[in-house]
Amino acid sequence: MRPESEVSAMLPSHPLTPKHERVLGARSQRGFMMIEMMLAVAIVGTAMFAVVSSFSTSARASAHVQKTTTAEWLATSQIELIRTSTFVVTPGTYPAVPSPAGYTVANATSAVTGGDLNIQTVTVTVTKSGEVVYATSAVKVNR
Amino acid sequence: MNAGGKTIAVRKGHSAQRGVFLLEFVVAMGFMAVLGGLVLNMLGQGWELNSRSRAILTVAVASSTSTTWLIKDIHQATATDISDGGGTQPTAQFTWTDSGGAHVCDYALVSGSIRRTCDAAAISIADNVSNLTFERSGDLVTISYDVISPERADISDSIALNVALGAG
Repeated sequence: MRPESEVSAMLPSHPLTPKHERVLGARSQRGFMMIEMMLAVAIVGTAMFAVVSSFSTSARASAHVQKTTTAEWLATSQIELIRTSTFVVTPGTYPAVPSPAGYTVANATSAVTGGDLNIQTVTVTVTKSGEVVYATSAVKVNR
Repeated sequence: MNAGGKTIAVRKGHSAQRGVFLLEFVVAMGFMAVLGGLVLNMLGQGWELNSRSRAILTVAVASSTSTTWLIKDIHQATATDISDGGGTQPTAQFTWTDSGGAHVCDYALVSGSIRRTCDAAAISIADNVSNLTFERSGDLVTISYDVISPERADISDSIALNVALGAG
């Protein structure tokens, strides 16, 4: 083994350049391995994030379909109930159908153009957690 | 040791090299363990979300298909065997006559499916169904049933559908 003074004498007196660092070997190799590892973590992490994001988007879409399906049959039920109910003069409202937890079904009547009080437009709105999920309207005739 | 303002660690033989290699190995294993944990966790979450999505869609399709059939038949019907104000019953029959002649449609829960038998042709309009009941109040028929996902028991839809008899 060479004495430390001899090794010191072999080193350049000016600041180290990248070329020198490459030549030094072990030290630069060790640093490069760490960068490789961090890059691998970043790449695999990004890929996994993309995969999970796509699953998450799919789950959101499914939840939306479920909400819409439930809201559709709730609105249909409300319209059908209004069909068989006694005519309520505008701007009254019809009895609401029972709804599952979290959902609210509201209806509102409005007069049609022309002033015929025996015809009205009924609008049914289904909301979940304050957000309107589905809305539809129908015409109710007093007959 | 200092060289032009930079401190350089000089390896002093075989023993020092072995120590550094061990440290690198431990760090690498640590990174791989963390990375592996993250990947497995994300894959688990992805699997769960995917399974949940499929179950929700299966239930939504069954709900939508069955309600469409029920609404179509009950709107056309002019008579039913559901007693007015007589409480719930597990089966129902709807009849009507059109240009194609007289039609009779029966609904019942058979082996966990809503079976629609119309003019002797039977089809299942929803699977994995339970608690099917029919009730009538005047012209308003209420059909209640639960659709449960075949893959996941925690995904279900409880339907209580009102349909006006003969409104079509």
